[in-house]
Amino acid sequence: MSLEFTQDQNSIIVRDGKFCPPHEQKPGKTIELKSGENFTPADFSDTDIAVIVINVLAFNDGRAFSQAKKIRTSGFKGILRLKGPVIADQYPLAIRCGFDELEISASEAKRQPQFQWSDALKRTRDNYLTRLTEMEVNGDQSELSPA
Amino acid sequence: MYAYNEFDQKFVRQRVSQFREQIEKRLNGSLSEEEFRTLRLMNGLYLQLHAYMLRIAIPYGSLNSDQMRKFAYIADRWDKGYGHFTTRQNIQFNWPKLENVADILDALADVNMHAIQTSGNCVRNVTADHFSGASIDEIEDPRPSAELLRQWSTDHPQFQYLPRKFKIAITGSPNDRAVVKAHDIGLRILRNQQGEVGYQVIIGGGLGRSPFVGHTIREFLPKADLLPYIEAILQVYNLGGRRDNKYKARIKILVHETGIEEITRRVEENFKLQKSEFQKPSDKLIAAIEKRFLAPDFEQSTYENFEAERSESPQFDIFVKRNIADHRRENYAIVTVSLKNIGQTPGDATSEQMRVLADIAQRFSHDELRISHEQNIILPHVQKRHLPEVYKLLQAADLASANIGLISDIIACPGMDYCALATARSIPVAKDISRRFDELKLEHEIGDIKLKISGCINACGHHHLGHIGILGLEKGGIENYQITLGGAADLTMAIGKRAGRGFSAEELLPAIERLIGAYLDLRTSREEVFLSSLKRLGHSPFIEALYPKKESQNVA
Ligand code: SF4
Repeated sequence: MSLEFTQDQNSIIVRDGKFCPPHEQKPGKTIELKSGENFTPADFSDTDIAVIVINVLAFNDGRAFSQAKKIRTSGFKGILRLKGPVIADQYPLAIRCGFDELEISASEAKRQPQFQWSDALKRTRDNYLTRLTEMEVNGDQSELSPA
Repeated sequence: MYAYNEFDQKFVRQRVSQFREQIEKRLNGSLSEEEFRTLRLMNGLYLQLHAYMLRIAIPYGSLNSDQMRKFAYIADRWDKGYGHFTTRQNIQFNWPKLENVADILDALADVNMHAIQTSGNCVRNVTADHFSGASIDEIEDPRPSAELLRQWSTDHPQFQYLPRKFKIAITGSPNDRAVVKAHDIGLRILRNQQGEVGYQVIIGGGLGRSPFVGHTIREFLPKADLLPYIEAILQVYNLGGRRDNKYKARIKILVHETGIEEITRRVEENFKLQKSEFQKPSDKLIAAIEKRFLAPDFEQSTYENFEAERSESPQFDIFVKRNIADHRRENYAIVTVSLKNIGQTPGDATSEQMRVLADIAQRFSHDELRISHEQNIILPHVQKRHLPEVYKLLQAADLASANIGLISDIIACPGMDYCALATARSIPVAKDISRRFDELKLEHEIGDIKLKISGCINACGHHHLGHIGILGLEKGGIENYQITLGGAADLTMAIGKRAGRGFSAEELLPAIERLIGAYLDLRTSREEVFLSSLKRLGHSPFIEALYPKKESQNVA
């Protein structure tokens, strides 16, 4: 199982190298954003930033997903972490928005054991949006490629 | 009809197995009740007053006979033998058991249907003009665009946990039959001066406790830019919409509180970034989807028998006048089948009726059916020469009410009979009104009128848009019905104005009778419909009829 479940003080870091290899792991600053906190792309142009953590207070606060996507759109290449209450069913969404890893509490990790997170990740592979946005498509969707 | 490919099929099946897992996870404690609630809503499962309710999407209101038969099967096997068609082109089953829901979803997947995103704070079933692909006034069939939006919104990673639900509607014709101005996003297909096809984009419309007519955010959006533009709107909304108060969480409030200028600025700026994210132009994607819409093979035919039947049978002639609309092909017609029999629950159909409709569609309507937001069923492609026979079949199934657009063609929400949020009954009110005007034999005399009823301020019965709207509230434990006047659901969309104090359940029907009586007295001729009289004379003579004596003085 390539999914890592690492203890970090009172939290668990959920990370899967297979699904998010592209982002750089390097030494540098960690900065934290609140859910919904405004930022401009210039805020992340500081090349010292290695990790951006977005904190959410509730699992159904969906702003972090758009924040992550915006940070990626603006060109950030470091590690993006989603911290707070997350359910395993959201893990694939987080990955697809550009997050690399999650930081959940020990109690959440207890009621949602490791296999639930790796099972959930199987669902990142096939999704409509990727098929609609990216040029290179294979299989029976080639009909959707612009002529 | 859109034909599913392997990917669509696999996706729907996967969602069913995921939902089975979610139920298990709830039972073994992996998910809290609140978490499970959010997930079940995204799969169409509500908890109502007496039981669960399952809401199934009928994408852009189109379905074929197999799909309709599957509804009948579900109704018989797992429900109480009937289903309810809603104002958002969904069907609801009111009595499923939790342990059967995954099986029902599997049965739906057999015919390429699902309940994904029919509830919850995500992008809901995209609705479209119910005459799409058949009407004479259409610029372009909106369903391929709607299908593209369905695919885009399905399991969109950013937008599954929005501040609130999000509804999109699209029309392809200048006569708006999809109420686009009452949606979070409304799209109108049009041509610009160069003759290119694109969309007018409208945002921030909605009903509910604070009704708003949508604002145009883009007069003309090229077809190629559809997805990046919609993505931009959703991202601005997801980040900016209020999450502190669920009554203020819809995009209409964001637009209202922030101002349309500022929202336009944010969306247009965001749109520039989105363009590079969407490498495939939307018009090309739509063209590819169009190829998967199997167009009916229209036939040539003559129809002397149809004309003959009209002159012979006055009953048939009335049905033709009320329930038939012009088809783009001269020898075809669009038939609207009323689900508003006198005394019946608006929008309900029995499993038997569903089977009859499926059979008729298969034999006479190129296997197509549509559901309208007015809770009726459409047979979009019937040859005129077949109309007499179709009429007889409908009659035999108690589906031949010739009341489309009349006072008994009421939109009503489920209200107190089913809905946990209701403050009053709405179905019994609808039944009473249709019975009363049937007794008076006045329905055809009154002519075109839109009467809409909601059982609470959430306005699922679109009462704001009724020429006459009825809103059921509760005052000190007693039902109290407010009447609004002058609403309209077409492109001239208007929100009805409150006439004055509310009526008790007993007072309501006589009040409606007085109102209609005033109209019949005041109109210049039969040609002047209720809404036209209201526009010509203003509301005061009608308010006087509603409140005889002095009461009308206090009313603004
Ligand atoms: S308007 Fe109110 S009562 Fe009617 S269905 Fe909607 S929430 Fe329920």
